[in-house]
Amino acid sequence: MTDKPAVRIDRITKSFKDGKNKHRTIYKDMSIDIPSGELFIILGRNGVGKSTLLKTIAGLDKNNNGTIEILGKKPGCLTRKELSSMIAFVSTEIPQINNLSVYDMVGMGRSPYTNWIGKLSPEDDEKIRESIRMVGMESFTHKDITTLSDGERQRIMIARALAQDSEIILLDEPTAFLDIPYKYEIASLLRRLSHEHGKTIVFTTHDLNIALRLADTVCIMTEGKAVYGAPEDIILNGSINYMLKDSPLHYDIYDSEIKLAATVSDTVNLICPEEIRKLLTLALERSGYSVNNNSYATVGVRYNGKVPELSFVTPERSVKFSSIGELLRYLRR
Amino acid sequence: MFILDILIGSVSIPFNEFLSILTGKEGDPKYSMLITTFRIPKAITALLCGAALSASGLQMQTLFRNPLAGPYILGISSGASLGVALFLLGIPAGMTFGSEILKNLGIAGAAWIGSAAILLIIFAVSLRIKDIMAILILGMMIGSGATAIVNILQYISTESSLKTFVIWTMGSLGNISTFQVKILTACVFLGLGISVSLIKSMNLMLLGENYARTMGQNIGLVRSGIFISTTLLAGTVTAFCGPIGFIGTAVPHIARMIFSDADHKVLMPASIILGAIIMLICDIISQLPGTDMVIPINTVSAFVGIPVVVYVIIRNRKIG
Repeated sequence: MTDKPAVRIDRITKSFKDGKNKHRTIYKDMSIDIPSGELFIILGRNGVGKSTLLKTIAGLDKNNNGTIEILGKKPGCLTRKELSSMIAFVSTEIPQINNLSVYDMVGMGRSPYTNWIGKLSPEDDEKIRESIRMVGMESFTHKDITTLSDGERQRIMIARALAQDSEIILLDEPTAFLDIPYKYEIASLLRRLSHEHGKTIVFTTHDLNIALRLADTVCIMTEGKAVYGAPEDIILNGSINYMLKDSPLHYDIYDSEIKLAATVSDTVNLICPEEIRKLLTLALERSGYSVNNNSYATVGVRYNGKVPELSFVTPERSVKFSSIGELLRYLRR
Repeated sequence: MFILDILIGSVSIPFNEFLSILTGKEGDPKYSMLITTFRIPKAITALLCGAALSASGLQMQTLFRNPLAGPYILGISSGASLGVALFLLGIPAGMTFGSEILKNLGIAGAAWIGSAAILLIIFAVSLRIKDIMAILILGMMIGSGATAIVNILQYISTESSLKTFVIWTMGSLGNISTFQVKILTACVFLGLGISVSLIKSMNLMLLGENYARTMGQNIGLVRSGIFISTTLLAGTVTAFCGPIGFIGTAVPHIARMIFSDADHKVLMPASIILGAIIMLICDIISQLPGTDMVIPINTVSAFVGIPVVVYVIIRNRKIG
């Protein structure tokens, strides 16, 4: 930890007027060091100020107290132009502009470096093409951006940020509104960009699984505080479960995944092939049964790779089922 | 087109007469007078008006991120009219203007204040309301409100000032003095100069303000630039030619359709040139070639502009 952080946030406070003279404090005396050249993911429930924090770092919003240093410099001492060559920002709004090609959109990222009318030099052209290549969208270079899908457009917005040639890229919920494969694709792309090109990439998300699986550092924001570290450190110090405390979810360290807290009322034995044991355990837990080998009742499953054969056996009776759904429906009654 | 506009009117001028007058040779003095004191100023005015309204329309569409924005639709022209009405009708009865120059500058100044005020109101509202249709309706309401106030002013004002104002409302491309053409030219060139200097900034504004700011733009400066430029362009044109509808909204879209581009490097010059050409065509039509009649330029511009505006509304609904 001798490296200088890309962004140093030192005891910043942010509050704003909330309607009738009520001051709402979003965060107070919060300090974060964002390490250079890493993928830094900010997690938190709605309204804890993730977006506000990003905007504050990008210089789009002001903090009431405390200081922020970008690459060792105070943004207040920099012009917008100097700041724009250090930080690129991708917001949640995805612009819909008719007649604008992918190339033009990415080209806008070059604007801190172009002359008064925005003429692109051969060097700019090279940068633009490279940025489009880095997000794997070469074949779309001359397409109109309105014809792209949400995921493709998100890649283009990332390419635009890359073309800005800044050391730091901030993204506000880049995986929102995307389907699951696209979410992972965009997040992995960002991870690759940070590691292969040494960029400091910071993004906010609600997606716990993505954050824990891909981040170098995860930052959990809860009620005005921030705790950050490697995903596993965050799990072990209980921050994840603290964030989830008012929700039906919890993080199970043994299984290393998020679980829906089950309201277990009964127990069953489970006899089944090992490869589907976990799947069935989760299904039973969802229906209110935990697996315990000294139980009164037994669920037996035979599975040949296609259709499971299931049975529910107690000393009094034995019922057979042809699908898991049927079994669960029976158990719930 | 410029030459055609000079030649066509209630009295048609033969082309060879025009050439001989232009090259300084002796021509029919009747035609010579007509051309130098009437037709040429009118054609120049049409040119300037078209260019100014289209450029201001384009930059308003970018500033508000609203494809239907324009000086007339958002009530800026009405604001300018209100300013002029307050100026011409508000002055005490019996007071005369020291000079024609003072009066014209007063009219222009009043129009700037009026249009800037409406522009500020619309902008303040658009920061809170993002729905483009709501802004549009609001602009029309403000415009109607301004017109209503003008009507009231007409009722309560004295006869002599009313006469001055009515003469102003009848103002068209034609009734414009050489001095007014000079003011108009200066203001339009200044306004267009600001517009052209903001081309790069306006491109970035397309992405929204957050993006523009993080790409090194000083939003306050850009906004004020667009503000001043729009006020100069739309305000001055309205001051001397009266409200001319729909050109400001329609021409930028015609430019977009022709060039299928979103870059202001293309759209700004295209709008300026197309606006000038279309205005000249409107003026030619308004002379009703072959007859003695003249129809108001506002009527012609509405016929040209409204179909484009309707098309844009329908296309927008489909996307939305």
